[in-house]
Parts: sequence; structure tokens; C-alpha cells
Amino acid sequence: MKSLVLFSILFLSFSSCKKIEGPGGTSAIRGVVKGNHFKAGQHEVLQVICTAGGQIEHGDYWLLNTGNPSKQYYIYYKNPTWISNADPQLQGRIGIMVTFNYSDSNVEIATNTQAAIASVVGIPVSSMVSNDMITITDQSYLDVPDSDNGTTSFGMDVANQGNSEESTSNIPMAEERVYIVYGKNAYASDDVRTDEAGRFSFEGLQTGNYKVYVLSKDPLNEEVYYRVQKEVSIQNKATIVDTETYTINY
Amino acid sequence: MSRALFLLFLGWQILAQAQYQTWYGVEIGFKPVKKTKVELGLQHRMNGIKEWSRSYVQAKFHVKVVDGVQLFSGYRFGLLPNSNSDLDLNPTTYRHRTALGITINPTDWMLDKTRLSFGLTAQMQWNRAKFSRERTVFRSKVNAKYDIEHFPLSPFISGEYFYDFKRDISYTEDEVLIEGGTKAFRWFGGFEIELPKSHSFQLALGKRTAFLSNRSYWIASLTYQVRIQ
Repeated sequence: MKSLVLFSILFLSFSSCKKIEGPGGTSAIRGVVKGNHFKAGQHEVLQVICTAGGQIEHGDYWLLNTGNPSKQYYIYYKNPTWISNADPQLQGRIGIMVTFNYSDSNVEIATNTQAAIASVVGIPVSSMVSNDMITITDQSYLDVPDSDNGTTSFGMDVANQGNSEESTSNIPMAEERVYIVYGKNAYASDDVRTDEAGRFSFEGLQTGNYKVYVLSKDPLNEEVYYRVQKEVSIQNKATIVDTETYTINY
Repeated sequence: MSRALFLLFLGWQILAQAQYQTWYGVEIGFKPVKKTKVELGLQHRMNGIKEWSRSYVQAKFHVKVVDGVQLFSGYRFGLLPNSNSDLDLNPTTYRHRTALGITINPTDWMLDKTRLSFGLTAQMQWNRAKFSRERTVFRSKVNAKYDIEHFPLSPFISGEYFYDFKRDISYTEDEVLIEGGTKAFRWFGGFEIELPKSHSFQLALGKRTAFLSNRSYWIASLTYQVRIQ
């Protein structure tokens, strides 16, 4: 009987197999991923390309929309040689008059139009002119209804669409990929995705040390990612180790 | 003889159409001390006949307690393809198994020598492998063999039950639940071909039926045995 016990102990000690971090265990690592997001608002930028005076008729106008609903404009053109009223008197809009001659060049028309717009007190846009192109920047962070060239042949182009500011914080990140690095490995060995509440679980792990990380966008450069990483140690079999909440920028 | 050939042919036909493994083994048994017995063995397992499944080296030590009752301990080292080779860059991995058990042969209690031997075996075994869950398995086996007089073939059958103490693992909200359950059934039928001078071949056909999984397969086993008296 002694030899049997001795033999058994010998075999048991001989068979002690080194366990390393990774699959094949009964423990789990769990955590939650939450996210912050901030996107600055954008001003709407309108570019107006003017024609020469010879292509404008007395009474022609175009519509300038702004982010302020009570301040919508129309810009109309008056030739002093004509005695009729050039103002189309559009209801709900403020008229801005620009005096012109048929001999005016497109650059003069642009310069005069920009000057007329800039002279209006309290207009919620800033403007500048370069050759025959007027650049009008709305002061709001809104998606402004597109302006219209009305009866003129001016070219209208929205160079930048206005957007409101977007900001969220600490919302659960669903479908986010979470990576795990076993032991002293340099790269991720496995990954899982978070559920609708931002929760993740790595299961069937052996005792040992792990690194668990999520990728976060760099707030200064959305093309760049960095790791939000935590080191986790599983001390015992059949245990669940909860990590601190991961907060990322997305 | 024609019946045996027919059965052999039938067996191979079954194997050809099903998932099966072929096992090839060598066993040497000897008695170092009175009332003890040592068995050393090698086994090579193939998926089908071409794909390597695993190889084992094993040792078993028996001690006779009383007539018809033996205690034994065993150790088995296995080498097998590494399904996690991406983690450790090794194409193969290893597996250790230690076992303790008892064998009861009621036919040894009979006064008259009988050609029928009947045995019950109960065994606890512990498996450890690099990237696999540790398993503690209880096995119980019933086997019967008949030594036909003046005939070189001794037919035998056996049936075995496997209970895994860590079969089901549930990761609940706040704890890990480990529950045991039936893992598999395995049976073998075959015959031993007695050769001169304590040598023999054992040829068997069996089936392992996994419980709650579809990893069931047939087994064709050929073992060469030497018993040094």
C-alpha cells in the first residue's frame, strides 16, 4: 500500500502542468465601456458669384437666409436711371438695396453688394469679397436653409454646411470591441464586443495577469486612436473579476 | 472463419461511412513485486487513418488488496495538435492525466477456475492541459471476457460511463457555476488473439458517444500486448 501511495504522489507531482494565462480556465473578466463625444458646431458659409451689371435688370433680387428666423433678407438691385420702384417688397423679409449701372463690372457688383450687406445693422452674418465672389458666413451653428439666386443669374454655393454642436457623455457604448492581452504578450490575443449596455465579458480564463483595453479616438485628431487599458489579475479559479469602467472618446 | 471475415468487413464498412478513429497501441505488463503489476504502454490515435489525433505514453501500477480486488494508479502523457498554436507558436501541445481507481473481479472469488472473467472498474482521473479546462472525470467500466478452450481467440466486451465533474460552466451575473454531468459512454467489442510466449493482439471495435455534443465517433483499435510473467 505504501508503494501505491508513493507512486501516486510521484505521478501527481510529475504531472503538475504549468498553467499560463489564456483560455482553459473557469474565471472571467468583466467591465463596462462608456463613451464621450464632442463635435464643435459649424458655421454655414455661402459663396455668391456675381455677374456684371449688364446681366442684371432693375428690380432683380436674390434671397439671403440666415440662422435667425426673424432675420431673412432679400438683396435687390436698383438702377437710378429707372424711375419705377425696384424693391419687390417680399413679405417677411428685410430688403437690402444695391445701386448699380449696366456698365458695372462683376467685381464692382460684388463689392457694392457686400458693402450693402455689411452696412445693415444687426445682420447675423459676416461677409467679405474677393474679386467677384462674396463669402457670407452665418453666425449661428445651424443648418441654414439654402439661399436662392432669385431673379439674378448669380452663382450660389454652400461652401460649408452649418451644424449644431454635438456633445454626449458617459453613454454606454454598444458593439464596441474590447481586447485582451494574455500575460506578457505584446499584442491582443482575443476580443469581444460590448452588449447594448456597454458590458463585456471574457470567459473561460485561467488565473494570471491580463491587460484589457478599448480603443479611443484622440479628441484632437479623429484619425488617431489610443488605448484605454487596465491591468487585471485573476487570483482564483471560478471567479469573476470586475474592472473599472472604461471611458473612451468616440 | 468466414463469419469473422464477414464481421471484419462489416466493421470496416461502418467505419468508412462514419466519423471514426483508429488506435494503435503497444502494452507491456510485468510483476515487479509480489501482488503488484506494472503496465507500460504507447498509443497512437488517428482521425480516420490519415490524420494524427494524439499520442500517449502511459504507465499503470496495480496492487492486489485481496483476491479479486486491486487498487491502481496511472499516469498518461499525451501529445496532440495545438488548437491554440497562435498563442504559443507551438504546433503541438501536451496533456497530463493522473488516475486512481479500483478493479473488482468477482470471478476471482469463485473456487473453480472459470474461463469467464468479469470485471468492474471505477476510476477517478484528473486531466491537465495547457489551454484546456482542467477536468475531473469519474469512469466506471464493466467488462467481460471469455477464454475459449483450444481456440486462439478470446472474445470480450466492455461498456464504460464517463462523468465529468466540471462539464457545465455558467457565468451568471455575479458568480461562476460549475456543474457536473454525464460526459460520454463508450463500449468496445472484440477479441484477443493469443500468440505464443505471452504475446497477444487485441482487436476491438467500439463507439464513443458523447453526451450533449455531436462528437461521437467509432473506434477501431489494435493493441499488441506482452505479459512478462
